Amino acid sequence: MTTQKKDTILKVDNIHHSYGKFKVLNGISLEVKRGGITALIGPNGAGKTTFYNVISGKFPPTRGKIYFNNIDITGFPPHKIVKLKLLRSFQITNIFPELTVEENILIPLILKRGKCYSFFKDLKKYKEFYIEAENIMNNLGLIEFKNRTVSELAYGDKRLVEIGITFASDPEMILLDEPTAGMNPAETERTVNLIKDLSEKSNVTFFITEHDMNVVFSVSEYIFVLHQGSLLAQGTPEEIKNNQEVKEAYLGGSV
Amino acid sequence: MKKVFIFLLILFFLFLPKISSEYWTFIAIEVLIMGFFAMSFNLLMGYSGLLSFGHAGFFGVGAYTTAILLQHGFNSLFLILLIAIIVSLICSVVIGYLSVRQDEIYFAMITLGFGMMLYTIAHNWTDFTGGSDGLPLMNEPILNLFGKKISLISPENLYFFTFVIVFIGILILWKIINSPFGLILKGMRENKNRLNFSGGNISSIRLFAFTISGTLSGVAGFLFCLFSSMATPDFLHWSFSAKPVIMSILGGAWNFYGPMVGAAIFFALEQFIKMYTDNWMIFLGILLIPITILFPKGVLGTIYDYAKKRYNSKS
Repeated sequence: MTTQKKDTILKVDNIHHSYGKFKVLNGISLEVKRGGITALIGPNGAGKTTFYNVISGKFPPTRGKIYFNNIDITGFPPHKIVKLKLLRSFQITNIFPELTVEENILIPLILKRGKCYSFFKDLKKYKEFYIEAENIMNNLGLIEFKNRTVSELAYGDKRLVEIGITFASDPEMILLDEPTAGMNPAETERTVNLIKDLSEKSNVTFFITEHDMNVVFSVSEYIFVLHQGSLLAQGTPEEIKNNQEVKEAYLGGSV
Repeated sequence: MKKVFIFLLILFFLFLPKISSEYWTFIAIEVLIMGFFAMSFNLLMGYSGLLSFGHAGFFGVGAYTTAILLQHGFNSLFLILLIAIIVSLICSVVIGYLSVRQDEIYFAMITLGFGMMLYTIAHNWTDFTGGSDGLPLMNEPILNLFGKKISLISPENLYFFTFVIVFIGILILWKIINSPFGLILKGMRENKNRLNFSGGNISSIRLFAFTISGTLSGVAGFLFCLFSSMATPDFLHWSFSAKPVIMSILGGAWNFYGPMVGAAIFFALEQFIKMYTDNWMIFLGILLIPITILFPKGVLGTIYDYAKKRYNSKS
């Protein structure tokens, strides 16, 4: 594992993105190492979500290259990037609201196994899908809500369902866009522990954005700081805490 | 419980022509065909979240293929059905390919446009389609079943023929919505963005759903041509595309049998109001307003939800 941790899973080379004339990303280059939890922070409007959208294929960068596991994925559509096992969650809860928790988890499993175009075989005959879904729901503490419609669940549980959907696709790397946004302190703690737990149990590389500084400093091993569409700093949590530029640009008096 | 109910329902449909008059047998045939058309259409609207306004086009393609083939001396109904399926499949793939990249209202408009193109062909290509008069069936449609010749002019025979084809069609739809693909369709209706970011190719999934739906609509058109003994451009007009929409909403678009129940209510209301006035559409419209308010999920959908709630609170 220790040798693996040294290689790069995601490499971003000088990417630019603009909405019309408004430049959001100004040539960002960074490398994320395999394994563990890496964080991306920055004040509102720094371009964090746009950065994720570009990496995950929602829109291509106007300039620059993205490599995942040394494969050039620049301009790939989302479903092809998913097939390479780079997954993402969304800042605004993005689930299948009127389906049950189990169905929400089954959908990515079907897609992962390439059974999307199985038209005539009864879904219930795919026993292995249900077993796998059960495992994922157990890991996330969602098993008691198995047959509940997701739209009826509490906000924190909905966010967990979303992590479950992301996890079901058997990812090598997950981009989590503000996984604790809008959560109360108890829910935040539960989610943070869960992410730590998932990261320790699996080989998945987590790349998260977060606005809650306590969360960022407690979970991440390495931090990138975005500011006005450019990379301002990078380093371990200690280095970032003590970086004068970061303090001025972003943290203000709070640390 | 549910199985017993479905069994009784099938039994009822089997004996219907024995116990009802010819007049009501004809209405039952129309309900079956239009209900099946609405169910095929609803694979897109209720299950996939795509509102197609051009489905009358595929219905009409099925009907015209049948009428033209019968006129040109084809006499095997199964061969005609097969050709009608192939022709409507090709139309669905081509029109679907050009439409599925659009969303919501744009999808509705582009399918409406293609539907009207097919209408214009049927209406203006007089030599081939009979123009605005339509194409009547000159030859009596005869079903050759294991050497036995059965005339479909008889309402009872036509009823059973329709029933069997519709039954098979519904079975196919039932298989599809309970397959992995069926759950993927519901996922697309719920959140196509999430589906895309879980590895689903939206355009391709939509094209498959569109093709299945359009082809089965063509089968409904084939039956309707035999039923009305002709194919007319009206079958392809956009206002005809509104019928499955109304039926699906009336019965419940989120319920598998909703559109069929909607079709039954639609024709029952038509018969009832026509006893008093010929301008039945006005009164249908007036009646539809309280029905949609009282039954927000459609008549069958709302009753089903209510029964489920009662059942859950008991156990």
